[in-house]
Amino acid sequence: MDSYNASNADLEQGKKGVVTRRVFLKSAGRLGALLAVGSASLTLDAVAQTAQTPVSTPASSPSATPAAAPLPGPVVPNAAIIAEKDPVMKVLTERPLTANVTAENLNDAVTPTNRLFIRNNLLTPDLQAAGHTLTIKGLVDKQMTLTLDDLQKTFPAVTVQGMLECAGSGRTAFSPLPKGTPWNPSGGYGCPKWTGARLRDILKAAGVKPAAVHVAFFGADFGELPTAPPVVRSIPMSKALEPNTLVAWAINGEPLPKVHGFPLRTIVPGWVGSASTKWLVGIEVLDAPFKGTYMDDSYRVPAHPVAPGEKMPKDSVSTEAWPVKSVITAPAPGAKFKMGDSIAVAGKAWAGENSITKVEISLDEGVTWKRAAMAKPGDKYAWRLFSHTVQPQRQGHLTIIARATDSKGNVQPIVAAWNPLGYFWNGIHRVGVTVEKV
Amino acid sequence: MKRSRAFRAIAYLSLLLATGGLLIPPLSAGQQQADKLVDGPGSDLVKAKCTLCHDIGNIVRIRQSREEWQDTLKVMIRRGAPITPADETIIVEYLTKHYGK
Repeated sequence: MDSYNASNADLEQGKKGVVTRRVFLKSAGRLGALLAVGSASLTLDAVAQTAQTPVSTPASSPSATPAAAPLPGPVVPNAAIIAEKDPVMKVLTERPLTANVTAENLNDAVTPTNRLFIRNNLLTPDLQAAGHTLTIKGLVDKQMTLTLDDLQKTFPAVTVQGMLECAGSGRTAFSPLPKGTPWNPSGGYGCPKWTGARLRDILKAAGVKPAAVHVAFFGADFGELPTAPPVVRSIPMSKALEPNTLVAWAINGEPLPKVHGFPLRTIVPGWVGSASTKWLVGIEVLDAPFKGTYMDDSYRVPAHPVAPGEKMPKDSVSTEAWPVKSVITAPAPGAKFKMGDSIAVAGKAWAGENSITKVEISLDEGVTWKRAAMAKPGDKYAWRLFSHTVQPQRQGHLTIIARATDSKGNVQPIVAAWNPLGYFWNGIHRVGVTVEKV
Repeated sequence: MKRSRAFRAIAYLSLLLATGGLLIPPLSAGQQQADKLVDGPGSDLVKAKCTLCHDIGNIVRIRQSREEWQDTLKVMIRRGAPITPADETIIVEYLTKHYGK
């Protein structure tokens, strides 16, 4: 594993200096266990229970689960994370922690932090700003290790509003259901304002060598098991140098909450969320995409479409930018109106690397479409707000649907192309309401 | 809003104390049912190994062929799952039987 001047836990131990992350994980274990007893009881209890199984096992019998391994550092308990979120947030899975709100709760132009979805791969490390460092290494002229203070003083701070969306956002709309986080059709996405340094300014300061092709990000998070590899993702140089790609320390003007990557994370707006590494401790410039299970086994889609239910073909590609998509954030599903009421339809549309050129609304399952009004475009990777007033002509159930078109002429499909890991759901969003007789 | 958040925090804290630090919010009856593994040879092993990192719901809500479960196990082993070759056989057999397609 690559060496990083890893984290605050390292400093708390009084073991300053560069250590390998693996060595760091192991050496910090004892202290971590001490610090984690209060916060990680779930882990320790669960492991302690399963550790009761006999240790000596013949080759044909199931093996015992390893005895409780101390965690390499303190973790933030799920309950503490969720207590800081809006009550409308729903936990989808506890292990790993995933949570989101449904579309009607994302009607704000800028997503409030307490409504931003959560998608962890591992645990939430309880990091401190003091002593936290970021190391830039690999194909650079000058390896650098920067403190948070160094970063904030050396590089101009920029604020951009940008989309963050999990690759599996909307997964449960796929049929058959692929494995993975059960994001509802409203999905796991949001569009807050991020503040940080441009990654390109940091890379420029380090001096990128001509052979550079990809940039990999390393987070300080760790799993329940000491054998769990870190979640490492890399992005092409062109995206790393894009001026909206940030090393961010703030969301909506406040320091990042712990679950969203405190004290430092990357923001690769418009791309699958996994590119936006939380708890950032390392950046490595590479001559090829990073090789690892989170590059090679996950976040991939077939290079050519496959039939629903088929397995991943050998020919697959890494997920990058999101395709064109829109959601209706008002009215809420199930809302009741009276004949003669005007229904204010509102929503958001986005398109990864492209911009939105048109949003249309249909009240007859796509037989006829009306153009929605669009707000002025904001930041390059921010969603575009749309609105439309509907005057229902008859009583009963009314389904409102919206579809967006992007600057490359891509139109949002009725159903997204099925793929084995259930990524990139961008099918047309539907909201049903009732119109009652006066 | 403020009040309800404070209330939730207190509720969580009480839960924390009541369960001796076990930090799982109460699930509804429906969820508990849906998140239970079918009993059978291998179910204890699946519970012991897979729930180190995953909710049971992540397993029981999907249907995969033997080959797909095998592939899933291979990925999990690459991600550090403490699964021996003997475990793998039992787990794949169990998952294919009860959560196959």
